[in-house]
Amino acid sequence: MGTEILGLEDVRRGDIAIAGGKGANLGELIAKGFPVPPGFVVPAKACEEFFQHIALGREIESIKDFSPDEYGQCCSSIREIIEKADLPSGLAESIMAAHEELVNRRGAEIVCAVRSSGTAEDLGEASFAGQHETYYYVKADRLLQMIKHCWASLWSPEAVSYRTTQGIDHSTVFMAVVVQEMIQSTISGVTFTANPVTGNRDEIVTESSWGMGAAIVDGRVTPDHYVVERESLKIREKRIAEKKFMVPARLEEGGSRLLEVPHDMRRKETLSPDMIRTVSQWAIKAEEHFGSAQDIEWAIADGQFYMLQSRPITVMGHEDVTKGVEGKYVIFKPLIENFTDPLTPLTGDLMSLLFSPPVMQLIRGWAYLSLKHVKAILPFKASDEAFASLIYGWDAHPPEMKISPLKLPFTLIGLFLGYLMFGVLFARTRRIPSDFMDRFRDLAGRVDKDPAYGPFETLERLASWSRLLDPVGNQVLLVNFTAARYILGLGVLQKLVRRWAHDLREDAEALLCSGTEGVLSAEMGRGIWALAKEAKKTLAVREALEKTKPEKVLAKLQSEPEASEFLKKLDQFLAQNGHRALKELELQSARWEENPSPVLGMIRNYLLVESDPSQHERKIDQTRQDLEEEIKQKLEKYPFERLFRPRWRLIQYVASRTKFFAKMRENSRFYHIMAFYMVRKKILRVEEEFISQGKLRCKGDIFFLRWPELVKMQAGDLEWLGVEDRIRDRRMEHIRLSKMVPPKTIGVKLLERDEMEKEIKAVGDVLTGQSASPGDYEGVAHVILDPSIDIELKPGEILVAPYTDPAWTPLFLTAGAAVVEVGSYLSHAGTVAREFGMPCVVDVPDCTARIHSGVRLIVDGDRGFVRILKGEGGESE
Amino acid sequence: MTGIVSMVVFLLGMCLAVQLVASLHGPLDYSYTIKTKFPEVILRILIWGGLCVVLAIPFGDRYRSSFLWGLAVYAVFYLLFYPATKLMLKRNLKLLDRE
Repeated sequence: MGTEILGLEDVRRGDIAIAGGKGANLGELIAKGFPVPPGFVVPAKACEEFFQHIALGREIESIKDFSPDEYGQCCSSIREIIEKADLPSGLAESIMAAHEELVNRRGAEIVCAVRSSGTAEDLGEASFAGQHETYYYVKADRLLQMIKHCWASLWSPEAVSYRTTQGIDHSTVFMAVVVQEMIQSTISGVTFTANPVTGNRDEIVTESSWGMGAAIVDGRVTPDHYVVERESLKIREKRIAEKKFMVPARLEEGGSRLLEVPHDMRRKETLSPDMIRTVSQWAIKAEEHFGSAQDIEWAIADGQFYMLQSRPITVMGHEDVTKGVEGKYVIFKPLIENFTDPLTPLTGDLMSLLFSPPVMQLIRGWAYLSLKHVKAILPFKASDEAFASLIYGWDAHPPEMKISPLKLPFTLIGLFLGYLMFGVLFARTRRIPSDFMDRFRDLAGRVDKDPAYGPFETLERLASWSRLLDPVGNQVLLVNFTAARYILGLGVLQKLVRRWAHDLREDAEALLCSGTEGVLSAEMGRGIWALAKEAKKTLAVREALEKTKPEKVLAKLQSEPEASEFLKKLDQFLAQNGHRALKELELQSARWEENPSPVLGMIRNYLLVESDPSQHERKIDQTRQDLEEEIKQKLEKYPFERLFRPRWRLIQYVASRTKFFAKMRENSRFYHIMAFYMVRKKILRVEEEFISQGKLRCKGDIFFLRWPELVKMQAGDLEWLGVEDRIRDRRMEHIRLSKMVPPKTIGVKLLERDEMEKEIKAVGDVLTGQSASPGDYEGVAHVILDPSIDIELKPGEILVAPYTDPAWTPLFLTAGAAVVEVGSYLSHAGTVAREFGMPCVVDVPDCTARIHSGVRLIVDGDRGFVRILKGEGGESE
Repeated sequence: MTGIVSMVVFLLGMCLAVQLVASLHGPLDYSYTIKTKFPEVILRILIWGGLCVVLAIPFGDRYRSSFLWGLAVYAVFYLLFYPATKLMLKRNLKLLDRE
């Protein structure tokens, strides 16, 4: 075999040198009777001859004269030569003849997928993955050009840099290209013959969605998720997602690659039980044939199953996440509830501008503290494990440590420097009025309207502190920083209260600090409650909210004349709080102003449970007053206390300062999120521009660009073809990582907690976490993954959630207790649970997977454990 | 001993400078409500400014200069803090470019 075009059916597993990894794999599948769409391979030899034909040798030879920084320049000229040259006429004719044969076989016009099939790719660790290109929707007129693009992708700076590092001679590298008919599928998906997240070999995991598979492979839709038991092919777990978009089988010129899925199909199951069996059976066959766990891409068209690709599975374990990361890191728990999903590349880049590396770093989109640097600051003498445990669990179970006399002076110097840096701000914010930050909204509005501010300038203006004489823009971040003084206040309060008044309830300090007026996120909760009250006044509005899905209810209300007053109040609420969202530190997250469905969902939740938050607040006020009386009584035994109450006055003063700083911290966060929304708006404007210029094809793709790539695209130095594959790869990685709980530490282990934990662990179904709000509670679990979709929590049920943020607050009203996968004592879940006086355990890894809705749980908020009692059926949804 | 006292006086100068600079921010911080807040803002400047003067007088020449150096060094440190932050942003941008 030389340069002749090969049908896929003529290629076998051992032909990698000719047809490349992908081609050989597909050929093998066809030969073994798997239903693979027809196609052909342009062999690697053809690529070699083409390179000789255009005399590329000199340019390739010259690469070694360039430094890695200059690869961009030399690669660009090589790619240009490849893309501009004509293919030898004989080769071009053979390719077009093979394409014609595909058309004849189908009996209609077809579109093809043109895939790079590297002769070194897909071997071993697939080290070239992501460096070579694939093109979809290719029609006959663009076929030859796309094949040349594939060959040109051998000369991307990343590929060249990788080969140089590996010592691979550039002149020996060629590439085959697979041209395959794109099946016009009605349903498509991906199946893993082992659970890619847990590594469980007894489970087959399938994800499916409407339309072409690109939507799933590129990570553009949340697909339906099925977990099937390998032996019996019974469905173990099923999650039907809201599939808002699909990739159409045909792509109109200049049209969007994503179409909206009709409303009635969005929550409909894509696969019938028979289809799931068929897909699983083919997947098992592929695994049996290749002898290892497989990840298969498939499609269903006209009821017929097609296998598009089968490759060894990539099981993402924590080892894969931390691979290549040097140093020791501990996850930054106060931020983790905002980072349960890793940040998208663009958000990560913009956030990292605000950090001061190397103390805090984003690793795979999660925020970590560098152990080395934190260790240098803290004046203790201890092992790395003890330091890691201290950083990780400092707010609940600090390990005992000795002060190091050698390090103490350096720490004191560090503290003094910190005082010099932030002392002015500490002094300025000591007694700032509550309305100090209100002006931020006007400033944000001005920045939004000013075209001179791009995303970076907006971030700099609103979320950093680079201006001396700006009391508004820069200070919000610093106010947040300095308001961390409330932790100190809480510590002092605890010491005072526990010293003078023994045997108080566990959450006495938290209760003393509750009930602060003017906390904006609490006001937001009250605002939603007020909207629910408004909705109750009009039957039509109430019915619309209760009986219509949140994503459709707005349109229904807008067509309802009686809903005008409610809509007016909703607009007022959104004008105040519209910048908030689920996962609000992530710039990709749609804000309530853009999509108010989550707000409408929360209103619906209030309507369904018929609870009254003001009643709850009154109850808390009463409990606080009782506690205050109890403390006063206990203090009376001390000298002068009956007469002047000095101790009680001191406790009151510390509590009031702690409340003040806690309010400042919470309110400044409200405005940070506003700043991020302004940055998001700027990014969306850039995206709109890119899409109109053809530089990007789909909404949302911009968040998977790196910041320097966005800048290059703005300057016209980078186009769609240069980023398409990168975006796809990053989306896939993002999806894989999103399914994982981030590793608590990298490069270092945490200390075992204590004997009590070991003892309880030994009892059986006990999940360990961290206490965030004290108290015991027994009840039925309700696993909620997304509060905008799954919002019906019955009164008294235990909320089990992956994370929480202000959008989850209404659910706390009805919950009896909360169990959360991530977070710390200071996290949102803990703060709200303490405010509502209910037990809460945070930092319970995998709790949403290990606890199923319907089972009974005991939540031990005092010690931070959750015990799973006998199940009552039900599945996590 | 004199050296240690000079150092302590120098640090005292820096700490007072922190409070003085904070009070000087008052007119800007409270500009939106200056009509009601101006007495408090002016009082704060007078208190911290006055305290600096009052403390500087009783020091002898040697310690007075340490004290004034403390005030001056902090003022420079503070003024440089903001451009340094801007530089950090630029440096982070360059680091991103290099990745």
